[in-house]
Amino acid sequence: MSAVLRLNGLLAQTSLTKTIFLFALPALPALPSVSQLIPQWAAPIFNGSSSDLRLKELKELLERKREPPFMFDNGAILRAVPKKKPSYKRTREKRLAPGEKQMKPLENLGRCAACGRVKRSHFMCMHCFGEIRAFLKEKKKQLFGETKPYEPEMDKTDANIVFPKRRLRDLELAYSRKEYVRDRETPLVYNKDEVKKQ
Amino acid sequence: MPNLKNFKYNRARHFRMMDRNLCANLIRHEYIITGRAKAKRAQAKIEQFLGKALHQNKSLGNSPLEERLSNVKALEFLQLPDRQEVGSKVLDDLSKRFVDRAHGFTRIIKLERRLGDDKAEMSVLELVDSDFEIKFWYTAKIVARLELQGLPVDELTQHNVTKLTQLRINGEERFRQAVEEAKEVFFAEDVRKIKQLAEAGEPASLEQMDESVDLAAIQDDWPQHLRQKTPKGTYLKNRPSELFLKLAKNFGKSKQYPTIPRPAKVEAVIPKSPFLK
Ligand SMILES: [Zn+2]
Repeated sequence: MSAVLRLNGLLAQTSLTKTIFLFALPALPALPSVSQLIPQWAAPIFNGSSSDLRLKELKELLERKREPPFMFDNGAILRAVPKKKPSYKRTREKRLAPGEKQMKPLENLGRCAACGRVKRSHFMCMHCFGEIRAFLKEKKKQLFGETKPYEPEMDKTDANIVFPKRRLRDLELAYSRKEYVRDRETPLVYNKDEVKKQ
Repeated sequence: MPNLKNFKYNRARHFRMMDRNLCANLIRHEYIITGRAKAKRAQAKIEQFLGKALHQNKSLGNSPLEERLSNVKALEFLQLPDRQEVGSKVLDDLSKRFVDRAHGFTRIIKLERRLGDDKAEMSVLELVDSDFEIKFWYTAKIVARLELQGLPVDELTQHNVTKLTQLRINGEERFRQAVEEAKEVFFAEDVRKIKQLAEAGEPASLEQMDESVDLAAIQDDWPQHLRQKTPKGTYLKNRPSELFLKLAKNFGKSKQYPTIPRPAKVEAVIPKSPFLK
């Protein structure tokens, strides 16, 4: 029933206001015309057995030219669309009902004894870890000197075969630099009143 | 965390090599930073390897290093190119370090997730009783901070200190040195300020340790690795809470099953045999 109503609506629009449909997509080769796609139960409407004036006009047009005046499959493809707009409630339920999708509060925050900032309990304080790691690196450098990154000793031709060098594109180079990875933020100073569990 | 226990048969060799590489590099560098799953998997293998190697080394006695290197069968766990370098460190260095230990040579410290693409769980895998132990320096930093604040060392920290120093050679002395070094390195500005106040003849109080220090002006003569991009401050005013101190007192004691300490053992007196004359 709805298909008929929609077709009627289209017919009314085309015949009364003479709207021209512009399709942005390029024309596709030899799609079936509308008459072939119309089901049998809808045929009498198009054959003119109905007394609608607009349909009669359409029939005349069809007889004069071989093709119908409007082509909703001319160059464009009809796509599947949702039948109804999802309601506000359904959308919100879908997004918010599952527990694992929701943001959970951090219950395990504590105070780092070494710097007085906020830290996850049972985890190393990353602020202190950064400081200690930099300090130990410097200490190692003073004791053992600079260490070079490991490079295998290889013949030049062998190295070219095993590690073939390719000139990276600008985008690949930018990606390999990993500039998009953000720096770790300095944690806030611990305040008993600001954490959830005290 | 990916499961590294069940894997396909054709990947077994790769997994075995992963353990060996991690083992060699851990012994080389004293601590390594890897993903949680790899660290957990490798830890078991490394413990096994070190336990066996040190045990076999002990049984060989004081024979020269070359001889021990060829006779300790456990070193076959290492890959051939690493065997000489890493093996000699195990037999020479670590055997002196772990005299009283048969197991528990390594420690895993949990870190926050990596900030890259994969957000992987990270961890530190480290050898205990070394000079480059992260936990050793972290505890030294805690003690240094408490001393600068003029607070007593709480029970939880004291427990950590004893665990870190009891089996270390010259443990307490080395820890003392580390605390003094931590004061200079991590609390340089506070130490300077306390000295200034002492010269002026004022008693240093925590309220004067203001966090709004203009670090950028001071940092010119700091070593490169300690210069900070943005002033971070040490916030010496921030003290441990009373609740923490209260809980630290009962640290290690179960709230659910409070135990009573066992009474002192009474020496049993065996009565004299009646058959003896
Ligand atoms: Zn910290």
